[in-house]
Amino acid sequence: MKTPKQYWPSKENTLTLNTGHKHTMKFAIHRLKKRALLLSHALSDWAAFIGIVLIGGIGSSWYLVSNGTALTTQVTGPWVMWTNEARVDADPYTRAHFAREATLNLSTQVASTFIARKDSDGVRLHSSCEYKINGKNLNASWWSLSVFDSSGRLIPNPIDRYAFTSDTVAISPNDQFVITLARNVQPGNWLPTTGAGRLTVVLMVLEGRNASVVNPDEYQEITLPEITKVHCR
Amino acid sequence: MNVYLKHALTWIKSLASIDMRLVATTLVSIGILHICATLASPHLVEKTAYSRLKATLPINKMKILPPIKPDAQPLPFLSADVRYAMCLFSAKAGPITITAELPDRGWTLSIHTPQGDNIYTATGNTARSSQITLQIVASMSSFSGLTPQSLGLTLSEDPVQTVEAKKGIAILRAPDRGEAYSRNTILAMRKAKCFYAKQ
Repeated sequence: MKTPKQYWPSKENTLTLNTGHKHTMKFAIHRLKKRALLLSHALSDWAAFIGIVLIGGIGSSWYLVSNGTALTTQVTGPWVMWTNEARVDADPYTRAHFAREATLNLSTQVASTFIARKDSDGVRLHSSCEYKINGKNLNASWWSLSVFDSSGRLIPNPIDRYAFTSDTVAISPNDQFVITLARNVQPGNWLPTTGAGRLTVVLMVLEGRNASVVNPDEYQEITLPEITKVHCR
Repeated sequence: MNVYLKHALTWIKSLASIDMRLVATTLVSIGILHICATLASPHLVEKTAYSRLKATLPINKMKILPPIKPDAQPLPFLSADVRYAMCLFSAKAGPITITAELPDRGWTLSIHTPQGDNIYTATGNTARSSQITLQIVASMSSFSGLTPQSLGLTLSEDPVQTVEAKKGIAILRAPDRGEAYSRNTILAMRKAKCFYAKQ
């Protein structure tokens, strides 16, 4: 018996064709998804790796250049001194630090520059507080103590006073001095800090007796002053 | 005790699943980047002290700066406790001569390279006034002609010290003791010279 010629697929064939096509599509999408997932995994791994390397490398360099380490700085109470400042044989951290600060200080072979951004209790210096800087007249050829804002700018004030030196500071008969950092007028050695925000105190000691020791018997430590908070607003 | 031991063992086992090669690669990469960033840092600074002063100072001429005030502070952390005289020098064309008198303690004459290195410093003292004569040459190793002294152009009877630097800044610092002393301070500072010693 001759079967009639079919010009269109039967119901069964249509079903078979459709399901086969659907399966193929599903498989392709699944494969695509898997590849995308693998690619995203690989990319996220690389991104994580690059992120960790960038943060670790640049971040650690930035931190050590800004704050120094025990190898590059000497910390005495609130005072920090970069031991190789402005020297020809300075280490890369010191070199980078002072290039960024854009200062031209004297080398530590002749002068020591101490910077304080905190008081003796370790709290950040701020113009809303009043501080007393107590010390013994420093055993040096000449010294100066200046106050700046956190960026190294002088603090404008009506009496144009920004620093005291061994020549200008009033010293008591027992060879002690007290410098007051305050907004309002104070008796004695007053350095105005009118609304500057965060403060930086810089003590420069020229030819401190411990800078170059010719005779070890004459060795004397420089006693750095203390910075004590009196009160805050 | 056993619980802690088990925890420690589990922790040690979990360490074994970490790819140590990846950890080592990460640490080495961090180290390399750290070194590169630190060494490159001085060269990436947009405005160094030298470049800031270069715009305001004449070349091979000593200039006395006005008293440092908040609106006239050429560099950060430049203290107002001293008066400054600066000379931006270039010894490429020939030796530069710098002379200065350091009459008292606190006075200093310093030479700085464009990178900020302090390559020479002379300090004053109370016992006597010091007259400093410096000759800055571009290179000590190469012959750059006869010295002014050998040509009979000796500038003073004071011993001349030679410093090697192609360019840089000479800074004379004079303690600012107040109005009463300012005239004498300025007079002493005006004696400081910085010039190209023609041969």
